Parts: sequence; C-alpha cells; structure tokens
Amino acid sequence: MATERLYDIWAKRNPKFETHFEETLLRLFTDYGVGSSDAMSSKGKILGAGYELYIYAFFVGLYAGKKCELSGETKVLGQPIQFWGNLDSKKFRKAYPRLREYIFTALIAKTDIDLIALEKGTITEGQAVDMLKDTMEQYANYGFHAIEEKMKLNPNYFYKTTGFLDMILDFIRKPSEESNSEELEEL
Amino acid sequence: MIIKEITIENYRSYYGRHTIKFNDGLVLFVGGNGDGKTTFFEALEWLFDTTKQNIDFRLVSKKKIAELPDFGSDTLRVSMTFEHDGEKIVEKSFSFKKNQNNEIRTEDFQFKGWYNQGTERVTIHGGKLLDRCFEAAIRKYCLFKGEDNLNVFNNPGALNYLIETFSNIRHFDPYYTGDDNNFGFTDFAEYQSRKAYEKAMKSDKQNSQQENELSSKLDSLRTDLSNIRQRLKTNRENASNYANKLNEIECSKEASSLLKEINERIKSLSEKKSKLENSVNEDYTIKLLDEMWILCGFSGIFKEYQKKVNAFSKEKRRLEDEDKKLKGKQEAYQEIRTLNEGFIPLSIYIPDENSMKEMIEEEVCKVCGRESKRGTDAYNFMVDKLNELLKSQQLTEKKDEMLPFPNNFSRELEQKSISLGYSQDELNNKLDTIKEVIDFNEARKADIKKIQESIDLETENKKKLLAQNDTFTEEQLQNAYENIRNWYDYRNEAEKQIILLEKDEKEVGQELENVQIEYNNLAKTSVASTYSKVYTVFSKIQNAFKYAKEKNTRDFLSLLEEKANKYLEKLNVDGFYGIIRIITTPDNSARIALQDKNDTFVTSPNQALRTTMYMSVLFAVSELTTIKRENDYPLIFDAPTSSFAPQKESDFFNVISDIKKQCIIFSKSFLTDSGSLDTTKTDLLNCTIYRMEKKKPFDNLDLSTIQTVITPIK
Amino acid sequence: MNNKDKMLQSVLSDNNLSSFYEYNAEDFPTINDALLADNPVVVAVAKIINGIDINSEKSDQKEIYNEVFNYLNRNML
Repeated sequence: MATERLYDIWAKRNPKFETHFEETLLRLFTDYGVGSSDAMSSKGKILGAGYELYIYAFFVGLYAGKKCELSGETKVLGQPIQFWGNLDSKKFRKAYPRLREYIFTALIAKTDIDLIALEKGTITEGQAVDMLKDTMEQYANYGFHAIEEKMKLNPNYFYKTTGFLDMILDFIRKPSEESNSEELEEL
Repeated sequence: MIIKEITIENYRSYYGRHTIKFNDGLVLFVGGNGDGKTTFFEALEWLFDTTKQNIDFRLVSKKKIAELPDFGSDTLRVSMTFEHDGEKIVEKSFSFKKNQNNEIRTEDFQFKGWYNQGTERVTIHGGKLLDRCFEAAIRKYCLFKGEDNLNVFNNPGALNYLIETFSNIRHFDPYYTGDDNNFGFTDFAEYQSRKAYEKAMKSDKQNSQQENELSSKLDSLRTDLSNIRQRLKTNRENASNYANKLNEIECSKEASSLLKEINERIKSLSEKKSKLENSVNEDYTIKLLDEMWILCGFSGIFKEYQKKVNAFSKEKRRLEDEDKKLKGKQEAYQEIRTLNEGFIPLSIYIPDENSMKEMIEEEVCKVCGRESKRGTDAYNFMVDKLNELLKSQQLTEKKDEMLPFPNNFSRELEQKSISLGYSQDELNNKLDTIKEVIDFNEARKADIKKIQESIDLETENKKKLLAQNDTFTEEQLQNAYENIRNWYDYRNEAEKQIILLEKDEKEVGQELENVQIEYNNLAKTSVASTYSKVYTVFSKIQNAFKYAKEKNTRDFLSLLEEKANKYLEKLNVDGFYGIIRIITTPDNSARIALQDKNDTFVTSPNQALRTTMYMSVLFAVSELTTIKRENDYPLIFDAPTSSFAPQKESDFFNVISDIKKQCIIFSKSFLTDSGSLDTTKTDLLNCTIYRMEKKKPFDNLDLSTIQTVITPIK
Repeated sequence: MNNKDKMLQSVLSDNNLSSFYEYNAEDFPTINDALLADNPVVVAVAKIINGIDINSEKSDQKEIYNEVFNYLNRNML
C-alpha cells in the first residue's frame, strides 16, 4: 500500500529540458548557471532561478495546448520541483509554493493515466509520475521553442515590461479550443 | 560675405541630405521646441570648428544608423557655399560604418575648402579658408545660438573683446601700454629719460645731498600715490558694483517673490511626482509568479481537473460499491439510508466536516436550499453522513481486509480539489486583477507625465525670469532681502574709504608736485636742466597718448550706442522704446541699459523690448564690422518674438527685411497652439520663410524615428 | 588721411600738451606737416609716430628714442 502522496513523489522529480536552451534562453533571463548564492543574484536578470523560466515555458505550452517531444541532448535544472517557489522574502519577492500544486493539477488533468489502475496498484506510482513528468516536459519544451521563435522575430520582445505577460495573455484571449461546457454533477 | 547655400547630411536629426538656399536679406525658419533649430546651429558650429576633429558617432542621425544594414556605410556632411570675393565652399565630413555587432565606427575625416582662381578651382584646407574669410572673432558676433544668448555683454570679457576686435585700440600698443612689463614706446621713453635725468642730477656733485633727499622723497611719494590709487580703484569698483546690485534688487522684488513661488511649486510638484513614481510597480514578469498571475487562464484547466477527479472518485466508489455488493458486505451500507433508490452516495468527504456541521446546526440543507428540521428524514440523513465521516477519520487500516483498492490517491486528489477549490474565486478574478494593476499603473504614469509637463513649464518660466534678471544668480535673487543689508554695509564702507583715499590722493599728489617742483628748481641751476626739460616732454607725450587711447575707447562706445539707437528706432516700429546706453563698470565689463528722455533708467524692460534692444546692438556691432573689414557678414540667431503683439511681429520682421543685410532668424513664432503654421501671419511677411519640424509620425522615446524636415513656405 | 595721420591728430589735440607747449593741432594735419614744424615737441611726436608701428622690434624703440632724445636736447632751450 502506498504511503507517500502522489504529489510528493512527483515533487521530488527534476524535469529535463533541451540543453541548447541554456545558452539561448536560461542564461539570458535567469541566474541559471551562476550559482545560487544570493550575493551573486540580481545581476539584473529578469527572473531568478532557472526553474522560473521553466514554469513560464510550461504555462505557455499548457495554454497553447501544444506539446513538443524533447530531442537531442537534455539536462536537468538545479532543483527538484518541491523547492520551486520557496523564495526567501527578500529583494521584493514573495514565495509562491501553491503554484506547484496548480501545476500538479494541470498535469493530472492533461495526462492520460488510468487512475483506476493506479488505485488498484496495477500501475505503480512511479510509472504514473513518469507520465506526469513527460507531460510537463513536453509542454515546457513547446514553450521554450515558442519563446525562441518570438525572440527571432523581435529580439527586444521580452525586455519590455509587459513582454512576458503579454505572451501569456495572448493565449488566453484566443478563443479556447477546449469546450467549456458545464456538466452538472450527479448526486 | 553672403551665405548662398547650406547642406546638412545625416547630422543628428537631419536624416539624409538637406540643402537650403539662402538669399541676401532676411531668411526666416519657423520651428517649435525640439524641431531642429538648435541642431542647425550646432551643425554650423561643428563645421566652423577649426580646433578639433570631432568624429563622434553620436553626431550621426539615429534614423540613418537604424536603417543601415550590417557593414553598410554612409557619410555625415555639413557644407556651406558662400560669396566672399568670389564663390567659395567649405565642407566638413566623415564616414560611418556599421559592423556586425551593431556598432558604428567613424573614419575618414575631411575638412576642405574650394575657391576659384581665374579659371582654376583651388582646394585648400577648410580651416585655412575659414580663417581667411570668416574667422573666429567675426563669427562670435554673427552666430547667436539660443534666445538667452542675445545679450552680447552677458559674459565678463565681452566688452574688452569687442573693443579689442572692432576699435582701433590695438594701434596704440606700440606707443603706449601703461604696462610696466611690456613697454610701449612712450613708456620706455619716459622711463629712460627719467633715469637719465636722475643720473644727471646725481652726478652733479654740487647738489648731491639735496638731490638725494629730494629724489628719495619723490620715490616714496610716488609709491604711496600708486598704492592709494590702487586702493581707490578697488573701492570704486566695489562701491559701483554694490550700488548696481542694490539698485537692481529693488526692482527685482517682484522677481524675487515670483522666483520663490516658482521654486516652491517645482518642489511640491517634484514631491508629488516622486510619490507617484514610487507607487508604480511594473514588475509584471515577477508578478506572474509571485502573485500567480500566470494562473489567469487556469480556471478551465482546473475545472478539467475537478471533473476528472470527480469522475475518478465516482468510478472508484462505484467499483467499491459493486465489490462490496459482490462480497456481500452490507454493513458499510446499512447505515446509509437512501432517499431515492439507486443513487450512488457522494464520497464520504464531500461535503466536508465543517460544512456538514454547519448545515446540521442550522437545520437546512445548503446544497438544495431546503429546510431539514430536527427529526426529519433529511436531518437524520445529514447526521448519519457526518457520523460516517467522523468514523472514517478514526478508522485505522484493517490490514487483513482485502479491499479492491490498496491505494487511496483519490482521497489525495479530492482533497487537493477541495483545498484549491476554495481559491476558485481568486483564479477567476486574476484577469481582472491584472487589468486593474495595469490600468492603475498607466493612470499613474499619465499623471506623472502631466506633472512633468507642469514642472517643465515652471522650469522654463524660471529660466526666463533668471534671464531677465541676469545680474543675479538664482541664489542671490531668491535671497534678495538677506543680501540687501550686507550690500548696504559693503557699499557704505567702500564709499567711506573712497572719501578718505581721495583726500589722501590729493594731499600726496600735491606733495609730490611740490617736491617735483623743488627738484626741478634744483635742476634749473645745474647741468641737468636740459635733461629735466626733455624728461618733461616725454612724460607729457606719454600722457597725451594715454588720454588719446581712452578717448578712442569712449568714442567707439558712443559710436556703437549711436548706431544701436538708430536700429532701435527702426525696429520698434511704434510705441515707447527709449535710448540704449552702454554702461561700462570699473571692472571693465559692460551692460546694456535703456534710458528714457529724462535720463531715468527703464529698469525692467519687457521681453519684447529686451529682444529689440539686444538685436539693435547686434546690428550695430555688425555694421561696425562691415566698416572695419570692408565686407559685410550675416547675422544668425534665435529671436524670441513670441512676446510681441501679433501685428508687431510681422512689422518687426519686415523692418529687418528692409535692412539691407543677410539675416537668418530662427523663430518659434507664427505657430498656432496645435503646432501648425499660422498662414494668416506668415502671409504678411515679405521675406523667405522655411518651416522646420519633426517628420510625423515619430516616437518621442525612440530617437531613430526622429528626423527634421525643412519645407520652403515662401 | 591715413592711420598715422589720425594718430597724430588725436595725440596732438591733447589739451595738456597743446597748451603747455603752445601750438595749434589743426596746423598739422599730416605727419609730413608735423615733421617740418618749428615746434620741437610737435616734431618729436611726429618722429615717434613715424618711426614706430605695429611691426617694430624692441630694438627700434631704442633707436627712435636716441634720435628723438638727441633732437630734443639740441632744440629745447
């Protein structure tokens, strides 16, 4: 009988990304690759740790509704998911641990896991979490590609104050491809 | 010298090539702030600079740079074609190139001049040509950049410079300087003849003792007199300075309090602006994470999650139910009384414990909204359900019981669904929150912009105020009253000293004269008498040169005054004007003042009168230049005529147009409030007019969209 | 009337000089007129203006001085 929560198992993982994005994106917008000592942060980068851009890329893919399989060399970020958003409240930032939970719910919603089989133990938690992780990586990968495309067209796009925000809002304002029909729950 | 044509290519806001033709007479450029007037001047200044090779890439038009492809290149050029004993051209240029890193390199500086000699075209160095035809001394009184620079005596050395350049004062140098370190002839002669005289006196043994006494007395008296005169000079300068200051500060009372008000307003506006700036927080990217704005589109996805989890939970319960039925275990279900047969009960945890307790206490089902009073079936159903929930929380796992589902992830997922579900509202409102914050920031930024405009306006007013009261620094003007007491004291002290010193001067002077006569009488009886006479001749000749030099300067200034007044009469077509006086102060500087017929000074002439006054003096200086150099030179300046009455403006420019002289004037006048040309006014003018403005559309924050366009109007 | 003549006039018209040495400045409009004058002071002034100008060296000062000095010595009684 499983004693750990599914969420906790998932949170111990460390998702992958295509290595070339390190040079082109992560180093540009985050402190990734610099070392996590606070004294060295605030080199004027827009975001803090590398995972912050990862989270952003994930949501881009999620809202676009598009995934992209990883290819070529990959590597992992510096910290497993359980630490994401645990910022010390200094330098005008605020911690956002709940975001992890929302990401988790999105992955559950969008991943085709036979939950009944999981409950029965026919598939292990580990296998289930692997599938969640795949979904996560593929959404994020699409996001990274999309960000790179945008920068090719306009190198200054993300240096505007509203750059990152606008990209997300653009996806939301597009007519949604998923149906929003409401179903009454049967009591 | 007449300017025929000026070409500016790729210099700052002058994108591409601009060639403007000039005629003799008045040429007017109409343009507002930032439209390119000052840049035009600066392009000319750059052209005329013979001292350095400035090829700074920042001079290059940003728009041109933006359009250059990698490795593309182009040229920056300013050139002037002019008439000065034949047609001549002077041109300065350099080329610029963009490399692969988007950087600009400048190179190939050229500064050339061309003129015709017979049928040949001769090329010489640009600086040389300029020095020949239009050298720095002349240019100083031809180019006046900015309306605050019209007051030609604004800087201390201006008067001396004017006198040195345009009067004949330098002609006196070989004959008289009054400078012990650099003798003119008569200084030398006076000195030599005195020495000869004294030597002759000393060598006359007969009178040697008296000679010694008298000559040493003469020496010491001369030294005393010199000292007294030096101190007199200083005190007179001081007295005059403070008297002037006091006089002006009286008239600046109004200006002083206006200045205080303006400064206070600027301060409070700046504080307001600062506060607003602090309230603006545009860290939108950070907010995506810290405020979880990134979840603004999440509600649909969350609903998906809930739907999936509910379906999962329901399916699980269904299977469990089936299983229990199969295994014949009824006890779990006996406690559940169904209201209608066949429905699958909700999961044990829904509704949660608190909600259940609340509904039971209030005796109402909050799901369907109907009463469930104590004792009814509905009430009992709720109580049973709550008990089931409480029991399940205490139940420990029965290890030997074989449940079909060893795992309980559904519970985890459901709990997550509930706990995150509480923040459903928050999620739904994220978009609104984002919009609110953005709107707030934009509104604050708009307010800041307005406040900045007000600040700019006040600063502009302050600048004008200070320019009108340019005897004082800002600090002095603001602290007028504090300064007055000190200045009274200093002036009185100086005047007291002057009286004492004048008395001393007279006494010592008299004594010196007496001893000199005694000495000369001694000389009469000796061989040295001739030397004495010769010495006297040289001494008197020296003085004659000295006074001739001083008269020369006085004559020059009154000539300047006379000519300036002639222009003033012309330029102030009607209305009161007054008489221009050029007042020299003991410290060798000058100022331009206005007097009325009764010799009273007009202390604060209005802006229009000031403009006319300064321009009259400039015209006068230019006329003197023409006389001296036997060659006329153009006048180029900013004219702040916006304070003129509308009809007067046209008359003013028409008068200038009638003065047979090439004049190039940049003006902000003749523009309507919306910034377009007021043709009703320009139609009244009979001179060449060009319109100078930034080409639309442009972005005030992006220099690469700015280019000046010059359009001929007339 | 060239520059030297103008200079001559402005110096000779000095009241101090003309009254002390008793001459009339208007009698000598040009340098040449002044060089031929009876009044030794007038001649001296003309010699000075004639012999010295912007291009003179310091050594010229000495030369002219000696000339004028000797002239005055001989003619001032």
